[in-house]
Amino acid sequence: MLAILLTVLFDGLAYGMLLFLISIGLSVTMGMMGFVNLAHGAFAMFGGYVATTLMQRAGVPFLVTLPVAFAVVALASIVVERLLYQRLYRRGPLDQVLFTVGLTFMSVAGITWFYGPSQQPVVLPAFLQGQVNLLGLEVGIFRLFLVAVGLLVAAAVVLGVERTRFGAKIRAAVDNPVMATGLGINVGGVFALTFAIGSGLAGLGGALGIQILGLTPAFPLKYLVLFLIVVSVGGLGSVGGALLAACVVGVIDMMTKYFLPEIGSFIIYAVMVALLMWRPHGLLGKKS
Amino acid sequence: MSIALTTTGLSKNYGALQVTRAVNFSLPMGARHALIGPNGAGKTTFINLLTGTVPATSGSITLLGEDITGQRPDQRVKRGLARTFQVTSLFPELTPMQSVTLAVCERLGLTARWYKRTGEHRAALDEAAEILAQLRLGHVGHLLTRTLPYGQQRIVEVAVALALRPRVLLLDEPAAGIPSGESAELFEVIAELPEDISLLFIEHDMHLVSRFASRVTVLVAGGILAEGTPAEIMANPEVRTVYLGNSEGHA
Repeated sequence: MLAILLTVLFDGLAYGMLLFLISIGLSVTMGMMGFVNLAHGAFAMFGGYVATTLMQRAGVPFLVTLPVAFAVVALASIVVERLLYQRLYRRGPLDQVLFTVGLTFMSVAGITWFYGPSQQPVVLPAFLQGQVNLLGLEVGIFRLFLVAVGLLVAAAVVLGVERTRFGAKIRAAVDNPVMATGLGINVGGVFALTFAIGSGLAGLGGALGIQILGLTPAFPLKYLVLFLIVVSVGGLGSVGGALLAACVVGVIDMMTKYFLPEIGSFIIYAVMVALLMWRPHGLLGKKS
Repeated sequence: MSIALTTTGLSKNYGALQVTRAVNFSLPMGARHALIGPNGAGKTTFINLLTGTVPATSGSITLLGEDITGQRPDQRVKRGLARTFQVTSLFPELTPMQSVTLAVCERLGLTARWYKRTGEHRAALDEAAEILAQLRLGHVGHLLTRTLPYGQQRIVEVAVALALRPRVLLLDEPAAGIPSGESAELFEVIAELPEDISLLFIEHDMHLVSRFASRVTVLVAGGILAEGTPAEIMANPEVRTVYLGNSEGHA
């Protein structure tokens, strides 16, 4: 029984890492730039389709598709940001919500047109398949890989924001955009690049999550609520908070699906409500 | 080249509302120039047009001989135009030392090596410390900006602006909101600004204007009403009418 519990726990962690990779960009754009991008899930889905397309049509190895998915989605998001989103920064949240929800439905329809509504298959390379014995616990190698990638990205994002000059520019631009411009910082450029990195990470998460999350055109709608839960429970703009919240959400969702499939997702929403009543600004969010 | 900044026919409309009307203005090198006018005269809008925070509807702006009308605010900063704000605009969660260092790094283009730490550049840190010491902020350089008294926060703004080594410095009501007991330090700082910096400042208090400015421009309803020395302006009957005959000179 304990072994099953631990295995489910670990699967939940791996699932949480995927949620983290996808949600961190949303947390940054919502928390730092104050932009409500409900089409964020579509960027993740796009990453997934880039990866499957490369694997199926061109025989590109899985690991190679990951950085490509990151780069393609990041570049595409710059185009979207400069062309569309930039015009909405000064508008109210309702305009942003309506616009990005519309964009999400367009992406769902567009992907269905090109790829059909069915689930995309993925074949993992042999060395990522099977189980490995970790301290007496049988865990999936791929899930171990997901946890490692998630932690690496979390560390890179924290170090990047806290310890680099580009990170200092981001923090300055977020803290006071007018003043940052007064220093000669190109705030629009900094935001575009930050947005691109966040979207790229969503694309990476989408590509990594094909097997566990499943990849269909409904992806952005199916998981949007979970991404939003991670962002709000973690605290807007908080990297550590998003990581913690993603793990909590992943583990609880996995546990309830495994042990209480009848009420399944009810528990996760109940926990979210309770957490937000306890800490309205999220687990690690700053009071505003 | 004796003119630092010129505007030609500079105008700003919000729909049918004209907030800046064909302003022809020039700021000589090393000037100490005050911009005065009643509330709503468009003084801050004029400064915002100069810095590029607000795009001009028509007309042009020339900085050190270069047309900057189409440039972004950050590009104008890089060409030597710095400002402070009417309501202090700072990084509340950073210390003055960090804010000034960031400005020095940005000016030197050090942020191009984005992966480095901000505090890793010895020369930038030294320069920031020197600026803070000059402005008598050395002893509070390590405190969070939001914890400083308002008067000192305004001096931090000047410190950040100086770190950009501006050729033209725009001060938007530098003394606004400072309790009178705290303002003396700020005025010493302004009096001691390097002479090669051309200074344009918005100020309401005519005593301060006569103390610091050698020339004054009066802005009314978005257009220039009069220009001259502080004494000429105070004697100008039109200006006095605008200020409702307030002979105390306090607008």
